[in-house]
Amino acid sequence: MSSHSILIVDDSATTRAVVKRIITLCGFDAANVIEAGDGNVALDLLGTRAVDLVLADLHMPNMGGIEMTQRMSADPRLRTIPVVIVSADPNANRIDQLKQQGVRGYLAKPFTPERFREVLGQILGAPNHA
Amino acid sequence: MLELSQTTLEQALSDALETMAFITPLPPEDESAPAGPMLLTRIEYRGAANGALELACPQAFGAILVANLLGDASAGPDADRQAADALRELINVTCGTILRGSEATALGVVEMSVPTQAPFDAADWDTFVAARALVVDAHGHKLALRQVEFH
Repeated sequence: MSSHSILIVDDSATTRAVVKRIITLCGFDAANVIEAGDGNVALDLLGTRAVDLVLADLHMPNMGGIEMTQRMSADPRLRTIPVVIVSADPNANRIDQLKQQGVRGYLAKPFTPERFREVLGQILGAPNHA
Repeated sequence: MLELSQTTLEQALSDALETMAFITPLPPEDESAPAGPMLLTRIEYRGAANGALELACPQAFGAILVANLLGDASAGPDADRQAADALRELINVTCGTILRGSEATALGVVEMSVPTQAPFDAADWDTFVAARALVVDAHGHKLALRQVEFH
């Protein structure tokens, strides 16, 4: 299995568990997955842990994915960490804006494991058993 | 104004259930009220279109969703919370699918709310369904989904 440190940011614990399961199904190592319930907690974790990829929802209490991404972009220590937005948000214009702000990918819910693997593979490289 | 057809509701709900949880909804044998405790899960959208989607279904269906999403039946102390969480995610994804495919998002931004939940009384089922609700059978549980337009 490919071993990468992945941070899942979503206010739904069930959704975090689902994403974690799909990470494993796609051949990435879920032992290196950490979780945050909102952007504030995510930024705190990013300040103390080395992370290869952030998977973030857009709409969360306290701090959503847009503000979290903006703060990451403004922080020289965090701006190189790739962020993929995982959301049901229907606004194509918003997604284009996020990409212009440096977001590396967008996974529209509902997504298939194949699509998930494709997006993660573009950033992390193909999982070992793929 | 965004007036959704039964076909649109059905396609979006089917897409969400099949992709998220490998559940294929079927036409119900009848549209009578399901037995057991039920939940009403609601999400609002505002902006270029204004309205809400409401899903009434047995709480027990939430547990089936969790089992299919996570590949394991949850029986721990978190089981009820997870089941409710899964239903909120289902309506969130269904609403996003509908709006993404509609002309509303071409006209402007549409913001979806955080889904809310409340107990649903079986005595209200017939009235709910009569208001142009789509009723499907999903793994033996009846789900009723309807649009509420804001004027």
